[in-house]
Amino acid sequence: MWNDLRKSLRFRLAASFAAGSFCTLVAITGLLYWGFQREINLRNRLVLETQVLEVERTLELHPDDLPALEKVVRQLEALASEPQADLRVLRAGRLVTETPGMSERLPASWFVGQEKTKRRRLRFAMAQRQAGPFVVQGALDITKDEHMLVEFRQRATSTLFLGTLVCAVFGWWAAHRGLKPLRLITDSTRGVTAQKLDARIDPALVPQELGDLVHGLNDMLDRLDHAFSRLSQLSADLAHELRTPITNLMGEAEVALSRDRTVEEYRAVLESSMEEFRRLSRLISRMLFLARTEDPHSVIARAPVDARKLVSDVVDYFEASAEEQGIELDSSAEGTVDGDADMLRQALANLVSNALEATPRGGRISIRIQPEDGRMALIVEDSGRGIPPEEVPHLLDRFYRTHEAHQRRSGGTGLGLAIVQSIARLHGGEVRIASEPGRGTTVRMGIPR
Amino acid sequence: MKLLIVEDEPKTAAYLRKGLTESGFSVQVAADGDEGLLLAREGSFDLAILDVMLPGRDGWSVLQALRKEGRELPVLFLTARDAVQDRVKGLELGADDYLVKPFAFSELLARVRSLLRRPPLRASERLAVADLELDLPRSDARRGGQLLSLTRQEFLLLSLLVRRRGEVLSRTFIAEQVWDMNFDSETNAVDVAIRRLRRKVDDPFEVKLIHTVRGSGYRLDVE
Repeated sequence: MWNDLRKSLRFRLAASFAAGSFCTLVAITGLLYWGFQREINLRNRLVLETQVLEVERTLELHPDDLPALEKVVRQLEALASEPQADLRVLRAGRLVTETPGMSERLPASWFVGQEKTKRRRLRFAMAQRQAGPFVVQGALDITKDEHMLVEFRQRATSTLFLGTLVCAVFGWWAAHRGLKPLRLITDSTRGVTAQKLDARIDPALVPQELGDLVHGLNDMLDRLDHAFSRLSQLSADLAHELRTPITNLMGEAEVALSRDRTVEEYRAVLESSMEEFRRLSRLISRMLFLARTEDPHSVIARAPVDARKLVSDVVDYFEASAEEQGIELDSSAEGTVDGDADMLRQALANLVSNALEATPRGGRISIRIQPEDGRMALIVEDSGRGIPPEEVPHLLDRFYRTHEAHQRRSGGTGLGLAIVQSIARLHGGEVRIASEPGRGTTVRMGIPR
Repeated sequence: MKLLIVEDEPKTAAYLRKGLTESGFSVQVAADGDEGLLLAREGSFDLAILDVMLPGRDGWSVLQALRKEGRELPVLFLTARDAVQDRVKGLELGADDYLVKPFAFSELLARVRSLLRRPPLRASERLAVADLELDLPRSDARRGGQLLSLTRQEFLLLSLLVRRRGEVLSRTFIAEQVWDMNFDSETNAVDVAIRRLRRKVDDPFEVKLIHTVRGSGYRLDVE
């Protein structure tokens, strides 16, 4: 329970709010009380001292005129009727005159060295002065003042607790209110699932301080949304790619089994199946290759690869095909490429294979490896049909086939360039494609040296 | 030649047994790692084909146990996961080769034969199929005594077919052996090379030696 409370932001805010206001209230009421008490004491003492002084003065003026003294005393008592004042004059310890009944209330001996005293429920402030042979004693009934101070203390204390309580409740409420945007964010994020990643939090609805958080969350959602839609697009594409070969396989087998056939017919069906299986197997191995290279932990063994050897290997492989198609292959290479020889060969081979598809008889394909802007550029340039500008940005997407390739019903998996791209990325490089319809296409793989 | 197959997937095990038996091997199948290890210890096999994912003891652990006991039995791994770490692990543990599923049977057969092959042919060796003769050190090929004018790649391709006489060689395998292109390519470069080779080796002669096995690859033999 306590641990839960301590973890509650609302509780912590309310508690610190209450503690803060408690301290402030204690300080304020304490100060007020202290000032008030001091003021009352000063006032009372002033009244008392004035009376005593007045009597003293009379004694000095008329030392032996008892009636005059009594008159002054009566006048003074009358003046200080509220609070009631008592006065007494002694001469060598013997009473000269006093306010009636004073001896019973306050015996003369009490005045020695005392400023305050109490008798029953009453409180008195006292003063004594020596004037020649006389001793003047004065007392003031301050019961009411003391009561007032007690009442002040009581009120201050209850105000203090009540105020603290009010502040705590207010703090609780303020924290609750202040946390409302967080609940809004919570509610919004609760609605986010893999199927529903389009929910966003409106930054206008939250206070400025939470703006960054909301932007951060929204950005995260954007990235997730993008990754998820890519993933689901990929599954859809993959399923689509599988549909044709599997339809063929199922259909052929079904038809073959529907009646007795000759061995040759069965053989033809199996052979046709083999072709479909090859296609599927190639698709899987390419998907696996891509998955492997996209693994962020995957690393490649890099070593200096002789550019000339790399190019001549690829040229050797395609020379015959190019010659058959009446396409001229030329190549140039210098230096070394820092990378995985097998992968680089595969990338180049994919590019040349694309170029051969896109280049008509009499065309030219040039394979070059050369330093460019501090990197090694692996370039395959063809004088082929080119690609319309609107298709160029999609060329590196998996399963993307140009309109033209669709029409030719080319048997490719549509993964060749995606593989080139992932090979380039594994090497810390990138792929750039420039194409002009009717003029040809140039693909450049930049590999950092 | 005795082969041990450790494979838990019944269909895979069945076709491997069938295909390899028909290719002239004597085959025994184990359905899990423990049984496989037991058989490998007892029987005198020339080669084991091990699946990595097996119930109980996996393929790696079987291999490890065999190598620990000092058995030099060549091992070909079959794996469904084409992760570099997996491959490296297999080869580090002492596997001789590996194949990633799905693979073509002809591919498997070619690799099995490679692993079982006797020491490499001596360079002075001359090869002959019917009236086709190859002189390896001089890199020349003759048919019916007549010198064939072949490019270097064509000679390499022909000598591969002749050395693997009677075996179906897949396009991938040929590309790997002749051009060092060890990946599954979408091009028809191998078909083109074979077509050109045929023009020189087969077209002018009565007996055709290079045969297309539809859906699988190519085979050279007198038929």
